[in-house]
Amino acid sequence: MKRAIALSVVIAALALISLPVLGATTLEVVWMGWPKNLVDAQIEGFRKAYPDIPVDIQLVPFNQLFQTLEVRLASGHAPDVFIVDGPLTASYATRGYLLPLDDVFTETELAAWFPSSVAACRWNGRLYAAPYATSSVGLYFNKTIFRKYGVALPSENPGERLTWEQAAELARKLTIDENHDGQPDTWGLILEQSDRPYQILPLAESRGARALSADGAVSEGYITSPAFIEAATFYSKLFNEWKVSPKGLLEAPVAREYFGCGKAAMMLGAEWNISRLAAFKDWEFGLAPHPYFAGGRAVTPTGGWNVGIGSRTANRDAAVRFLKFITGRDASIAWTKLFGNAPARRDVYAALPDVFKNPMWQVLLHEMDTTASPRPVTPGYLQYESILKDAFNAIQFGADPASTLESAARQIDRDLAKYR
Amino acid sequence: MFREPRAAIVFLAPALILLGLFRVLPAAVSVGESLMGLATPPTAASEAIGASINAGVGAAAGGPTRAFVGFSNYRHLFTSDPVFWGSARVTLAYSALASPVTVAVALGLAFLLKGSDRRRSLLRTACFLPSAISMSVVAVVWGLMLDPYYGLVNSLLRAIGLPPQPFLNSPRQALACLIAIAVWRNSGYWMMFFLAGMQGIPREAYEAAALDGASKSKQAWHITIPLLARTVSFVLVSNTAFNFLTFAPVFILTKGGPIRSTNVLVYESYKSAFIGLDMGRATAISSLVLAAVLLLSLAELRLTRPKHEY
Repeated sequence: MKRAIALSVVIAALALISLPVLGATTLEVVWMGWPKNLVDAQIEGFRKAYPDIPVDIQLVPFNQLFQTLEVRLASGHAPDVFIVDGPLTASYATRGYLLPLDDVFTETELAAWFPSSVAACRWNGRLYAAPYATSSVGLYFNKTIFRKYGVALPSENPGERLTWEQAAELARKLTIDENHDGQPDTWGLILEQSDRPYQILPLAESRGARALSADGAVSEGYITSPAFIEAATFYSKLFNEWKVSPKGLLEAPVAREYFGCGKAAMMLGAEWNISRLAAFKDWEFGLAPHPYFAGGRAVTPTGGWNVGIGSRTANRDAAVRFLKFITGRDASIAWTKLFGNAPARRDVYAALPDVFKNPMWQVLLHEMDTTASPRPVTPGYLQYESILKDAFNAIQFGADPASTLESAARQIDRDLAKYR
Repeated sequence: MFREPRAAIVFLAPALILLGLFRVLPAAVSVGESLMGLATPPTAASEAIGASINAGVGAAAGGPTRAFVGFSNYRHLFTSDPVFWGSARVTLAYSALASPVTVAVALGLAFLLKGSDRRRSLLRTACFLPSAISMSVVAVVWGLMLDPYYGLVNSLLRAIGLPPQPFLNSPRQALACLIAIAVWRNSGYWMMFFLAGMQGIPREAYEAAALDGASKSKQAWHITIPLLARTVSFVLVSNTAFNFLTFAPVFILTKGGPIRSTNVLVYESYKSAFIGLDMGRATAISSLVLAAVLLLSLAELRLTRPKHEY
């Protein structure tokens, strides 16, 4: 009995000692699960600048990030600072999860970012986040494979953009089953995010379709429009009729490995691959502008990460300092060098001329200026994206595009009804 | 009932408290939540949220207001939710195949591997090992092996002259693959229960049968199997409940696809809760799963009630 009492005392004492560590003074940050050593380097920078602010950084892998945040936000245990996917900003803001930041940044400070990036942080006229990164997508191609099979290289000049029809033709030529075992050894074309609306929506937009009603509340008639279904049918043919893309290649890092190891001739991929592909020494890569449908217009994905502060934070001042540090010029320059995201700050491009004079970056910077189209803004983005992603996934595996999109539209509109 | 009721309560208390806190209470909360839904028109709600942010209350309002809606979540599931019905069919098919096959394989292994020689005990360990590996690891490894383009299994098929298969990429094969993985992982575990059950059968029964000239297979059929009924019943009930609640392999390998062919109820409930943000529908589904598991368990217990006691 005495031992039990002694043990309880020890446990209680340990609990008391550990309380201050977990207390209100530690800044809790939930962040995207980018390579830990890279994120740690960023956080070290903050710790050096603000040694008096303890930071607890929690990295969550991309596939779990939105659900994890959703659970924490809904349960009222929001982190002080968290990374916010561009199109989810409105969703969090509508539900009161983000602290308005109108008084945190001056107009001059806001002018450091691209106007489109700042616009993605606003909802109903108020600023709810600060931009961290933007993005763009182009058609990477493996020059070595093209040359090996005697196929002319696509042009890297935005004025000579391939149509999707031409790109599919190239893909058919370069889907090669060398050992005749029934499985291609080289795939013609892979999509880095093969079922995510981020990468698929611009196909439909290039055909002239809209992804969602202007008020962000209705998908029926938009994702079920003839133009959208035509684009989805083209997408389906890549996997099911022409068989130039492998089915079920759903993880972006795996897609990059396929392409980097020479298992695919072309990859529709985002800007962060420019620095990653440098690691694959056996091949020579190029980047052509994003294809478009003949008779349609050129449209490229864009949008990126923002950083927000939990509306119920008890560490407002420290959270603002962290937010300003991490989205500031120096940290952005460091992050661009480390990871290779397209920064949302204009001054980073001027500060790193060596990085951005790369011809691949030049193609994407041109796209960001001229053809970039952000994802639709709606408070129900998480549901919209998830249901549409399931629909693209089903179409990839052979489901009928028209009926799959119709059923997705019914589901989306039922979920969006709660915000109307 | 107890000679010393106080002692019994004291000994049972820790388990009962934990059971109540971590099993019964969440289940009750979930059933309660399934009777809730969105009430006020969201336009008014978003204004209210705006006001609460200004007042510094923030996420307290956290979205449109919830209110008691009775059985309307269930009504919706039953009358106008084809995704739910599809999911229910997948779950039933999965359990209806995975459970009996696992029990049969486990029983077969137990017959083959009972006994105490070295070779058998090594094989027993080998069969038991898969169940000691985390389901997530199992799922990832099988995912690599079943890769339709570069996986080990297709290489083997090609090596013996068979055509490669799409496996998890095919709406027709994906569920069968998940069942095979479950059988592979769980049979060794349940085999241990059968082996334990076999050890509990009195030796005299076999000796008497041997004296009467019964062959080994006759002994198995007329003694071992009838006297194992209690174990079979336990394994079948536990395994059915276990299969009904399958989540990890679906979450890791198929995400319910291709084309919803592996979209089991628990995964659909998870998606509804954490992606659709529809707690009412999610908890209604999980409450129905709970009810189904209870009913099935009762039915199985009744059907497999042992005829012989020893």
